[in-house]
Amino acid sequence: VTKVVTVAASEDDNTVRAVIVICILERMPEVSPDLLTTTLTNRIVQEIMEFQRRDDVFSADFLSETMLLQSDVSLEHILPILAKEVRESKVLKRYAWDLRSIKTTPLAVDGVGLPSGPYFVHRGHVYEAWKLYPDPLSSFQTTVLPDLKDPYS
Amino acid sequence: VRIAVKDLFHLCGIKSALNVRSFLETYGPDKKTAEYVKKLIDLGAVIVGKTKMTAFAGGERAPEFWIDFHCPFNPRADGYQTPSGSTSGGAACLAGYEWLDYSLGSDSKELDRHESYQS
Repeated sequence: VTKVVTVAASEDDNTVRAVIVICILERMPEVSPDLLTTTLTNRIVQEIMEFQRRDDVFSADFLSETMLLQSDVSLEHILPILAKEVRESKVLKRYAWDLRSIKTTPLAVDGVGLPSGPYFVHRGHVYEAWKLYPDPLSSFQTTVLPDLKDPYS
Repeated sequence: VRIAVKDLFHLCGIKSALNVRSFLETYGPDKKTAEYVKKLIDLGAVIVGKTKMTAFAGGERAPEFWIDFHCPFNPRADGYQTPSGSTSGGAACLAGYEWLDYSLGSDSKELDRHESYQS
């Protein structure tokens, strides 16, 4: 992944947030909002279970307050209900996902999305996530986010 | 190769704390990456983070004189032996974590050699 997209988040927000990005490349069926919400919820739950199984970078820590949905279809009207449904789906069983908001962002100009998966958001930019390791000895002061445009930053 | 660097080396875009809260609040992110770290990146190093150190690389006794941030635990024995200083975090993580390959510290007055045998 070399792409860094900008999302509608505050540029002044200096905190680093873990997020899940779900990219929807195919067209969503033109059905009632209810059915669309159910379809999307199932899709999201399925993807997350897939990360859990196959992606060694993913951990439950990425199920944060915000989720990023990448799609060219306008989904604004169903987002609050979708967030509620995903929250109630208890995707990772014991882990409560306190999903508060879903943000949407269009696909990049060339029609390609970021691959679905765990990412970090910092100052409105999405960054690739590397594997997280715990620091039980409390030996680290801070960690880093890779900027793929400049190997030194 | 995964490398941790001591918090006194500059990494472009990352704030240095030097283990001092007011220093962290006063200055913004560093604008350049240290030449030595650049050299390591050129050789393929993956920088994983910045490790804790004594305040301004001073010689305060651990853990009771670590005032602004909690002193790292020493992986040796019960975890409460002093990790020495100033590269306290750098030595503790290298001794304690199998996933870490190298740790970049700094050596003034033979200090680093203390930390490595104490952890």
